Amino acid sequence: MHNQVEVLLVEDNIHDAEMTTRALKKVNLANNLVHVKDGEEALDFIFARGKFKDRGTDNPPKVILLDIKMPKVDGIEVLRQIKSKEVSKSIPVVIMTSSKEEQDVISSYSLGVNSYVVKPVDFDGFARAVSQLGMYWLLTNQPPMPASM
Amino acid sequence: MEEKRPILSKLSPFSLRKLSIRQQLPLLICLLLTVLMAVFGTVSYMAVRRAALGIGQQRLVTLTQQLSTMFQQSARKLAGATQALANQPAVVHYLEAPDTTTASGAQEVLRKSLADPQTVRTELLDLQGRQLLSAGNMKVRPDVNKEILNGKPDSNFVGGFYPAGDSIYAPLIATVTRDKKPLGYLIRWQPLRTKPKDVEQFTQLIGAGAVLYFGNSDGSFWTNLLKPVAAPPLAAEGLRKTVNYKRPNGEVIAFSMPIGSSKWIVRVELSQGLLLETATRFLYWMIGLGVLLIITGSFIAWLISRNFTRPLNHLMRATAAIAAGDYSSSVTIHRKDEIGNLADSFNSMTTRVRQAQENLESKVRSRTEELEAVNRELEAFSYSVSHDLRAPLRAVSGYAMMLKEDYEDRFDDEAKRITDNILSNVKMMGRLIDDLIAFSRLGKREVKRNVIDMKALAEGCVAELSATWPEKEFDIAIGSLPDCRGDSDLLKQVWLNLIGNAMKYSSKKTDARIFIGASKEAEGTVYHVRDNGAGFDMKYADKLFKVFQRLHSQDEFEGTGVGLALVKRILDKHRGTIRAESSPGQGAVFYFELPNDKQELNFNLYAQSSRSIAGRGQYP
Repeated sequence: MHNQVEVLLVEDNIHDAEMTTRALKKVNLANNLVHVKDGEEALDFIFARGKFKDRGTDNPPKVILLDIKMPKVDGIEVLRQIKSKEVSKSIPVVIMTSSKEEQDVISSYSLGVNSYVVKPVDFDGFARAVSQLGMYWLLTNQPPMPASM
Repeated sequence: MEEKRPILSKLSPFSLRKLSIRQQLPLLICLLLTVLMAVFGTVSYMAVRRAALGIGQQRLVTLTQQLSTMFQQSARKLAGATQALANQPAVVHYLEAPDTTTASGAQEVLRKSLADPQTVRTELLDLQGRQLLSAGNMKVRPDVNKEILNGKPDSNFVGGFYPAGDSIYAPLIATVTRDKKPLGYLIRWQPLRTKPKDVEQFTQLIGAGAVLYFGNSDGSFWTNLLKPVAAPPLAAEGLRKTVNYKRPNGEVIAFSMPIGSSKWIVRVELSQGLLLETATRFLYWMIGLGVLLIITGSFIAWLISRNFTRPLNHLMRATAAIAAGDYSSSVTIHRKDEIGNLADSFNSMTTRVRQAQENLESKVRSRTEELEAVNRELEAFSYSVSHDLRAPLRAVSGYAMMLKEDYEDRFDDEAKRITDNILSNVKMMGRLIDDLIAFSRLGKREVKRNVIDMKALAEGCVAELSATWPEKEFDIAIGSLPDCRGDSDLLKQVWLNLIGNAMKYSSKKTDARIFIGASKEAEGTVYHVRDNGAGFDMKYADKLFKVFQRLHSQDEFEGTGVGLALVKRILDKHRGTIRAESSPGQGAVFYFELPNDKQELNFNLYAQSSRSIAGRGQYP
């Protein structure tokens, strides 16, 4: 059970990913962070498919930080699959996006998202938001017991 | 004068126009027939009456003449019988040589004449009218003989009526002659023994309610052959003249004539009523016929007008249906006349209108679809802008920040200043993007219509904005703000912008004062925000509400130039208005007006139509 992945960062923009990682690092929450670059990779990771097939599904991340606008499979679709499968639906998912579009907010919540955060444009705000998120989901929030236990 | 006109027109008989055509035609025909019948009836009745009177008059004259002749003949006959008596030799002898011998002979003749039951007295007179001999017991006035003989000295005739006791007598006079030389007169008195039955027969013979009068030619005595009667009216008018007068039973005409060989006059009186009986009957016929004609005429006119108005009513209903928006209505009138043509034209017109309507609807539909497509594209565009523009901006900001954090100790002042400028510009650009997106989203925003407590809304905005100025004290007063109807999210934006501006532009004053108030106007409520800040020059007022137009530099006061444009757009959506008053350094007042509820109908219509074209709003 050691070395459990704590944060799964799904983000196609490497700059955003770098800044997120940096913000989490500042509060010492980036030790067990995995960054995937699109929705397909994210699903492969969560359901232990493709290049992650050896990982197993009994080690889910503590929180998934999910962008919406991504190549191949977008964030909404990833969210739908996570929340519709028994093995993954209890993983907390936080949408982190630049979009304030109402339709995105509505469909995210109706699919069972745990948080919806709009990325601030300025780095100060962004870093603040990310570190608050990390502290909350990794430290404050009580995650469900893994199914295997 | 002008005020009287409507009254006059109300009284005018030509207000027929107020009636329907179905009523007008029968009424006109009825009136026309009535007038015609009245004129024709009156004229023809007058003619018939005149003719009847003429005929009656003629008949009266003829009858009177006939009676006169008839009586003349019997008078002659009687006179002839008397003449035979006067020709007796004994009578002649006595008058030639009157002595006792001849007198007894003559007396004997007179006495014998009494054997005739009609004769009640016989007398013999000399040429001077003196009585010589007499027989019979009837008494007469001593001078009556002279009266009888007066004016008729040498012929046989019947004298005037002579009433005595209960009876009426008439003298029959004959001249006694020898070789055509008159010697004296013989008078035989006879009573009138006419029976009522005889008179009745006469009257019936004449008919028309005729009444007979006989009188003496001097007018001294009148009788109906049964008893003496009063002289009839206008008896003095003379003979052979028609006269009119009134009797208790009505108007009469009368005609008098002398009877030859006598001193009698016959007068016939006819009742005008009876003479005019035909004319009266004609009048009744005319009236009956006229009424029948008027009723029939009006009925036929009613049928005809119904025949006209029924299809017209069909047309009218169909037209009303079209006016009400039902373009499917048509009329079925199978006629070949003008009305049929009208109905055909109407139907083809309806078809054209329906086609045009459908055409228009399909056009509107396709335009709406196009607009919706454009709208979707715009949405996609603004989505991209909001997402894709932010990401690189965030990267710039992030890397500049990292640079500052990681390498600050190696930066000189200029490098620090440049890094700070990068960061502040990124912040500005982020705000610009947010404002622009908010502004463009407003276009498709659905405007709600709720009652809003404006006072509470403004107070909330003041509290929210005061938090962004932690180091500055503002003296903000809020007056009474009436409730209004509108979209509270949008009107909050209005307050935030106006109050925010007031705070921003008065923030450099030591005693920044802001007043928020309102006043009720005829058309709506005018709310205002007044500050004592920097103000602006009114000659640039037209730029105030345009996007990206600013009246102050970024150094003086920060801003994107979108706020007031957004406010104007929100008020446009509420059918409201906004204006500002200011002068540099004197502060500014921003007034915005929201229309009253009574203008809501228009507003709703507008909102509905704009909604149906713009599609579903999706802004939170």
